[in-house]
Amino acid sequence: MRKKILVADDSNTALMMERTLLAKSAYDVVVAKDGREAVRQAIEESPDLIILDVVMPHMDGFEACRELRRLEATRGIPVIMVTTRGGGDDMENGYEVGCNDYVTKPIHGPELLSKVRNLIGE
Amino acid sequence: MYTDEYVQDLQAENERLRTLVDSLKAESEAQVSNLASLYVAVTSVHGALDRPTVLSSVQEIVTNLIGSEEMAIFETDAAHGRLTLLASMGIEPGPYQEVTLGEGAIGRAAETGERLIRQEGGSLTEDGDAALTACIPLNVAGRVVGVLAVFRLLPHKGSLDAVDIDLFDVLAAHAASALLFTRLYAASDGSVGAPA
Repeated sequence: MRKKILVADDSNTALMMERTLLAKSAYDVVVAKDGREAVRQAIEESPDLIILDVVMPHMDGFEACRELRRLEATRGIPVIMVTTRGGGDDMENGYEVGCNDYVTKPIHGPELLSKVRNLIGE
Repeated sequence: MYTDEYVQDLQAENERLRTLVDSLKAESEAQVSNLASLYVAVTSVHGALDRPTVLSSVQEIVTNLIGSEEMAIFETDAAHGRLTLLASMGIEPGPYQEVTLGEGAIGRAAETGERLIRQEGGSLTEDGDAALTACIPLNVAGRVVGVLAVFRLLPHKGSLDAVDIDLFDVLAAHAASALLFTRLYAASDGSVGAPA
């Protein structure tokens, strides 16, 4: 059975890039355009993995991750956060709110796919 | 019966083939990623009919696929010998509202049609032209209709990769035609491209 990944980003370009890479690697992809929608989709779709951009409207990636960890239905789903910051506060905050791993923009396909495979397999 | 030596040879060969397969897979994944970047860039930039959305797509491509949050997009105003700023991000826009054709790296790129690319990225400590990573003339049918100026790369990005240069080529052609089309579309009151 194909694994399902929820990708949340307010950038159409980032969403299209992530969706293209993941779909080519035989994952099913659902998308959300902000943190609030990501939490709702996570509850409805029960994905195997969530990829959350840090900067999003309504609810940013940190808040969304905190909420996902609070909810019974979503707390066990691995989360990868995506940020334009290569170190420091973003990463620290991400791990504090419970993300499992990080990738930085610009999106580098092999790195993203390797981290996805580490968390949920092929 | 197989000798120990024969088994060891097979194991070594097996390991060599495994390494080869892994390296081919990695190479193929990198190629798919590069092609995906180019596909996404072309598709995004042509995904809208209005100018703000096209400009926003160009900014998203530079941020998400190339790796800079400092940029400016200009349009050529040949009648007045200048470039006018259409959109900017992460820079102080004041000094860039108007750039005289031929002046500075941006003005020269517009006048000559020759791109400037600094593989190692713009200076992280100096401003102005020194901070430029790339000046990309936006061309339609050999005419420079604008310039994309990309300043500092994100600190963790380090330097430009081969695919980034390909992305600049894509933007040089496709951002130019997409921007030109938005103008035609607006001038036609939305009738261009409407069903006959």
